[in-house]
Amino acid sequence: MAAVTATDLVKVYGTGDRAVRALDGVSATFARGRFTAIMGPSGSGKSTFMHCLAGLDTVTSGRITIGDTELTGLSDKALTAVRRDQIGFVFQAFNLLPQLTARQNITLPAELAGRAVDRDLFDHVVGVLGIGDRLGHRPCELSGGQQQRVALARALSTRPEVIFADEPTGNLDSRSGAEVLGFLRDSVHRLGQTVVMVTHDPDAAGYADRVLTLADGRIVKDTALQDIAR
Amino acid sequence: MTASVLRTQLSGVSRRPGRLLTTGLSVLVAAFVVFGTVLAYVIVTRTTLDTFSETPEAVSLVVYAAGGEPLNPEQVAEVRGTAGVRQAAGRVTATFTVGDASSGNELELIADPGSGPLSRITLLSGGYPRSDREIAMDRRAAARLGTTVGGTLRLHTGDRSGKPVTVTVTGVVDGPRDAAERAYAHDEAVARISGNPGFPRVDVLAADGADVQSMMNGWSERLLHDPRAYISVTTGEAMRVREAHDAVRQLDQVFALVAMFVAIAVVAAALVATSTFRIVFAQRLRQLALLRTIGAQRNQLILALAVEGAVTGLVTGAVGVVLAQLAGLAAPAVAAASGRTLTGPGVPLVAAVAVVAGAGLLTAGAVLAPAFAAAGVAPLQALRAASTLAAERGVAAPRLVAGLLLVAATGGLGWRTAGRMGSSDALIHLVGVGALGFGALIVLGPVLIRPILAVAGWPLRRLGSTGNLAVSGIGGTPRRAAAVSVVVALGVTMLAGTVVGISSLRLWTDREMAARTPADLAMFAESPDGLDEVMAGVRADPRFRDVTPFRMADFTALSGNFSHGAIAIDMAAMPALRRLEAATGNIAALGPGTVILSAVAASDFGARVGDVVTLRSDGAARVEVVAILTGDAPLRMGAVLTSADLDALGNSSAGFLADVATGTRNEALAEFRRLSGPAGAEVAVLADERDKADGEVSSLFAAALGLLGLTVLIAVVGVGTTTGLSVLERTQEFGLARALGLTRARLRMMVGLEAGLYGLIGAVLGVVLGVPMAWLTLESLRLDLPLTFPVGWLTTIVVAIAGITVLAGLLPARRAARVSPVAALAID
Ligand SMILES: Nc1ncnc2c1ncn2[C@@H]1O[C@H](COP(=O)(O)OP(=O)(O)OP(=O)(O)O)[C@@H](O)[C@H]1O
Ligand SMILES: [Mg+2]
Repeated sequence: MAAVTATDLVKVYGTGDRAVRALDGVSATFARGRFTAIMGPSGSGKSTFMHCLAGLDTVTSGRITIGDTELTGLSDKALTAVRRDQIGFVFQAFNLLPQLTARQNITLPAELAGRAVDRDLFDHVVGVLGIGDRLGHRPCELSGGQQQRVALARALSTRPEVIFADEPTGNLDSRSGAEVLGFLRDSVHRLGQTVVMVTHDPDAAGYADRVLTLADGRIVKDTALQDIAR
Repeated sequence: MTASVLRTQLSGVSRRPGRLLTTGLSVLVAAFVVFGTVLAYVIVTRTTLDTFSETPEAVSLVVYAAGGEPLNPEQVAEVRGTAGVRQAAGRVTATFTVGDASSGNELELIADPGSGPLSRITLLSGGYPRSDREIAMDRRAAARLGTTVGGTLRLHTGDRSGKPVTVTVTGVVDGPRDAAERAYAHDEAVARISGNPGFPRVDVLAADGADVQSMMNGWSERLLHDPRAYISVTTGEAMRVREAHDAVRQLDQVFALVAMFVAIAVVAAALVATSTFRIVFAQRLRQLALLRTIGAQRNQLILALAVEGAVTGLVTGAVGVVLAQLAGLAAPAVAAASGRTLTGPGVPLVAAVAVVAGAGLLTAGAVLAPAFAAAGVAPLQALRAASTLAAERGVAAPRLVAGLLLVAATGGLGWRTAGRMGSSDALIHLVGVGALGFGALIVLGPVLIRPILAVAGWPLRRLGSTGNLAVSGIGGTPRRAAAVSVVVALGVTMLAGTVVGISSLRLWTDREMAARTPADLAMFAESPDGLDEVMAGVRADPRFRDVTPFRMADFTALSGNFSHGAIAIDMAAMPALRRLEAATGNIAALGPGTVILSAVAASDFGARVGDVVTLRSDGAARVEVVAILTGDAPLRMGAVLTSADLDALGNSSAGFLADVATGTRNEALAEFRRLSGPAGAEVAVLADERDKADGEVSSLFAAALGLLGLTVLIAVVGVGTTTGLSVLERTQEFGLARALGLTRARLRMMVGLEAGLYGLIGAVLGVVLGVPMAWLTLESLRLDLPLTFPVGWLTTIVVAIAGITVLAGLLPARRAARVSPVAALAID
């Protein structure tokens, strides 16, 4: 079964003369336990596509399903709950709430949901990411790579249906970037996590199992990478 | 270069005028309050000058004694007999106690001709007095004392031993309003009833065409030489102007006090402005850093920011002044709608310009500290990410040192002050202690936020993640939280201090009143016949409770110089008497052969608990002192005895007390009068005096609360502004929280709770500071007021402030909740 399904997505920004068709009939399925990269030139609609899939923004027409929840038509409250319980996020910058410590940032989704934190998973994820000695620090006391790892830990610690990452390595040097991408890939292959990542960088896309290429709001290429990668 | 820096900073202001109003809202409110006070002063003064006068329009000349003695009867006769005088009315006021001297009901008897151009009253019913033992009652006094036309009253002068005068009420009149109960009679009648011939003042109505000037000259020659009365003559017109100016001078004192409170509110506004600009500049840090990178000098930035502050102050000050002016111009119309006449304030241009200029200066000054800090930004900051900027740096060591020095200074001065309690400069020292303590609070505020949050935020953390986020949100920016909380603390310190002062005063008056007016109603019988039946009747009526008999007698202490009253009453029977406290000894120990003395009687006897004293009257009682009260004994008596010992004094009178159980006091009073009729007794409403004292304390309290409300208002504006600006800079943070699953409602609640926490922290600090300050002040005044800790009031203040600030935060909270989750992804 697919983790995320998108059917005939259309997203129009603005009206009249100034209307921009950022998505123009995009359909795609993201299978469970796979790592998909979305590529394309600047302004091709990658971020828009991801925002719509993640329920951060509404589509003009089309349908989106996450797990077995249909997103289109959900109220803001229900969408918020879907994001909290079924989706994990890693952004390029400003991933963490500045006033919370790393530990509090990681456990925030569980706390928002009023659920107990899964201690085993927390310890495992924190251990794998190597941030155990940084948990008491605030974001401003962490390096960019450490901040992204904390964000990754937060995304993984709720066992979401899917993790969306928008340019997660955009602000990092190549070494920290490679580490973060490695963690993402490991989470897919070891934990069976589903990951969808938007990126400009062909090297980053190389960590994925499949690359979707967008241009002018349409999918123009769909390549499976497992033969090349392994 | 400076000009271009200025332009970059000010262009933002002109593009977003709304933002400017938010930033300067506190200054706007302060300007409104200051100019509003100026206008109120102008209105009240003008209205007083236009309408206030105790001298009737028709009065041509006023002859008055400026010295200690009044004009004597010969001098009055001289004035009356002068050619050209059509009428001359003596003016005098005598004060009496009505009914039994112990009742405390006072009546002012005022001389008035009753009709004609020199009269100040109008007759409502009955007739105006003609003979010596007759008076007319003011309408309100008649209702209060239950007198009707044809009834009689016993009037006592201040002297306890003096014989009362019985007068007949011939009519009810309407006269000038006053707090006191009033009655009127002809001048000669007042003089005879009070036993003081002569008048301090005589109003003269000249005949048509009489030569007023020559009358004045004549009197000047013949009357002005009396060295005791020191007589002056002036025209009615000049007298009216002088009276109005006297009234205005009293207003000046009131307004001087108001100005003090307004000044504190202005200080609060300046503090809020400083804090607001600190936030605004912090938000522009990257822009300022960029300017530094491309070569802007530090002082150029400071100048630009200071000018921005001045502009903000001038604009918001002008808006506040204009709003106040509009309100001032509308005031006469509004007053007219409710049937009162006010004179309009006009447009006091000089004051308006001064207030606007002051607002500009104040704001420019308030901006300096944040401007220095902001201009110190390192050019590198421009390259850092926004999330790094949002976090504040830790508390610097110099701040800690300065703060501790201030604390030490406060403590030192406080200790010195404690050593000179009661001296005249103790109060000035206390102001110093308050100012230093407040300075310490401002400096140390950021350090105190986290510990206070740990305590005050605890219940919020229990609330779950929303409360948790709010507490962390505040804890993450302790300097900002401290800046705004300190302003709240300024208001609450004074509020808490006032509440402590007032509740001490109230406790004290309650104790005093418990002794003076132990019951709502009292009946004083002239003879004991029929008293028992009347009392049984009152007991049987469910409208009354605590019906308690008493007997009274007079006695003198020692050589007979000091005359007091003694009372025999069951001290445990009435609730108010059970509240009485002994300064020394034990009230409950009263028994045969013992006495409880009032403070005054004890000092007249020079007696202490355990001493044996002799109360002398027709007979005498030798009794042992078991307790000495803090003030009077019940019904203003000097001693409490048992019935048997009172009998030994001889010549006693009797009566009883009762409280109203149900219904209104007037209904109960009417019924009480009806029931008491057979005993031929006099009824007194003791509760009136208690209400008057309560009313005085209450209106003092209300006035203080109203004036302190100004400071609290500005503090709340500060909380609203701070939250509003914080919301603007935290779009990304809110977007992220929304993306991660925080619902709109909970985001709103979080922002509201943050604002409430500013208020809560400020309120807690204010109480911690205000209560000891109030205690110190009470001690230094040496009024022997009891020190209180009014838990209920203080809790109410803390809860109310927290609640109001939550409300102030809800407006920005709505804006925060509108942030779309996508905002988190925008990289600036
Ligand atoms: N809020 C918006 N309002 C109007 N147009 C928008 C908005 N957001 C995006 N667009 C437009 O939609 C199109 C797709 O934008 P999108 O941000 O999805 O591109 P992208 O592929 O993520 O580009 P980049 O690689 O530069 O991040 C662009 O033409 C953009 O101008
Ligand atoms: Mg993009």
